[in-house]
Amino acid sequence: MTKKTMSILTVAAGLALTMLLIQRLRQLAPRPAAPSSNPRIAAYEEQTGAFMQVDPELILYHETAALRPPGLATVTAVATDDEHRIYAGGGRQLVVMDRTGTELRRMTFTAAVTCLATDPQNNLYVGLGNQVESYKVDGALRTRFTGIRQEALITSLAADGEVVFAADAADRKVMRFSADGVLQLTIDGRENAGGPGFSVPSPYFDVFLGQGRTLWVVNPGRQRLEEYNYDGEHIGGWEDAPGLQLENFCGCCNPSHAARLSDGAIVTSEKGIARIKIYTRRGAFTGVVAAPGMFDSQILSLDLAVDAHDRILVTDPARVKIRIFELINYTDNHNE
Amino acid sequence: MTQASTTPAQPEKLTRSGFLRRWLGGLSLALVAGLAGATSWKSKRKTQVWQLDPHKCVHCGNCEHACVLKPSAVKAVHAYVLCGYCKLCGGYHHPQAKNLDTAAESQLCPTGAIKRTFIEDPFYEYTIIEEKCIGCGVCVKGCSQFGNGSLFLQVRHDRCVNCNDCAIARVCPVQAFRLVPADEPYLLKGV
Ligand code: SF4
Ligand code: SF4
Ligand code: SF4
Repeated sequence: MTKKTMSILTVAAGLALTMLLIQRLRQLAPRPAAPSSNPRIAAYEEQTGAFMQVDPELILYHETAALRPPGLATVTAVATDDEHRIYAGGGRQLVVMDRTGTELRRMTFTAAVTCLATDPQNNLYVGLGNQVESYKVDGALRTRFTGIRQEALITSLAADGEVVFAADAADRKVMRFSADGVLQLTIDGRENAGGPGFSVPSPYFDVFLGQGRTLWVVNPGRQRLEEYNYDGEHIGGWEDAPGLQLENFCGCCNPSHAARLSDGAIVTSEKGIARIKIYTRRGAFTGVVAAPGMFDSQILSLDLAVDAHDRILVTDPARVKIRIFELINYTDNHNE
Repeated sequence: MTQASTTPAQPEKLTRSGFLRRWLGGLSLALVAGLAGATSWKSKRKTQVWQLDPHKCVHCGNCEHACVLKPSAVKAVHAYVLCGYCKLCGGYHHPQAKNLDTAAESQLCPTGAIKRTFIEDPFYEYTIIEEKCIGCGVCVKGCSQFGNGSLFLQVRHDRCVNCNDCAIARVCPVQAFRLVPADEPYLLKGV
């Protein structure tokens, strides 16, 4: 591709993703179900509905809490820290809660919160469209990141205290920053020069840290996860898994979010069919956290965070809640 | 928009970026072209015409059968600007498709009215073959649930006879139909 083509592609993709983000935010409220007298539509609903049924035996988790972040009109981003604080973002607001949902602090930004992360020192990182800011645990601003393109759309952050990774859905690249916000390198996911790189059809492009200084990147247009070292070298990943079947990822841009449990297992969420599932590090499906029937709409942005006790925190924009799921019975079947 | 108009003609091998240039050059060109002749006489006759708001439509399927015309005046339209050009397309592939290919059993559209064209790995373009489309909205439903919502329905004014009391508007469960100015007869997505 020429530079001119690349820049047109980038501007176009950024514009399209921004429009999609607006469209998705409009869709967060569940729409009324329409009576379907058209047999084609009825058949389609029956066929897709069949994939929403989950064998109860496969459900490994149960919901133990649902916290409504005070004062938020929507909730689209979540993070947690070692002190069990919960950070919930929606619109331009962020609410910090304790584990019971009591508000500890509130922050207001100049742009909508698109993603959140914390590091082991409990510093907070906030994605704000084309900006990233970091804050100390008391809410004081540490730094505003530099080197981010104006057209960027930061959809995910991951931080270990030394470096911070930021996924830019508009540019389909992951940036690595120092902890004080200086851009160090960019990962484009091209295994060979000229390869297609990350495929990001809509504004869902997630990253999270693996074990032993590795970075996991969701390649959503290929319905798979890829693992990189901190220098951006591809070191492994899953097979493409497109499809509506429970063990696969439905739709053109899934999983929409993912996070890691302490034993290395990986939790994923999907849109289109709203479901949250667990996989081994190597990508073998092991069970379900939350089945589609637990959600009021199937088109939801279910951001994920895992706390120090491996509880799974999920944003539910339809109910404006952070829903918390815990393992019903411990099994070692996702221990690889 | 300016960029597109200064961009050279398409290379023979189309790329995803080429398609993006195409939409920069003019979304729904076919739609507008189809309109040019048909709406001009209509606009002389009436100042308002029926159209459906794609943001309200819940793809109930009534548009296929309720129209006084057979096949319906409503057809699917594709907003390339919103499309992800995905290999797995919720609007194209049947939910039970075993392979992500173009075999008849892999396709969702009952009339084969969507053409799938490989662009470059992993991107595919999806084009509505208008004469085959019956306006059933199944592809729109699939694209809205599993994709970006780039497929949507529109009353085609090269076909619509603009009934005083639109038969679909009467049965639309979400009141998506309304009268719009005859010289701006489309309610497009992605513009
Ligand atoms: S009748 Fe209304 S809701 Fe149903 S497909 Fe037509 S416009 Fe959409
Ligand atoms: S699925 Fe229905 S609305 Fe879509 S292209 Fe085919 S006939 Fe037209
Ligand atoms: S006005 Fe008449 S021809 Fe046009 S869409 Fe409605 S029922 Fe069909």
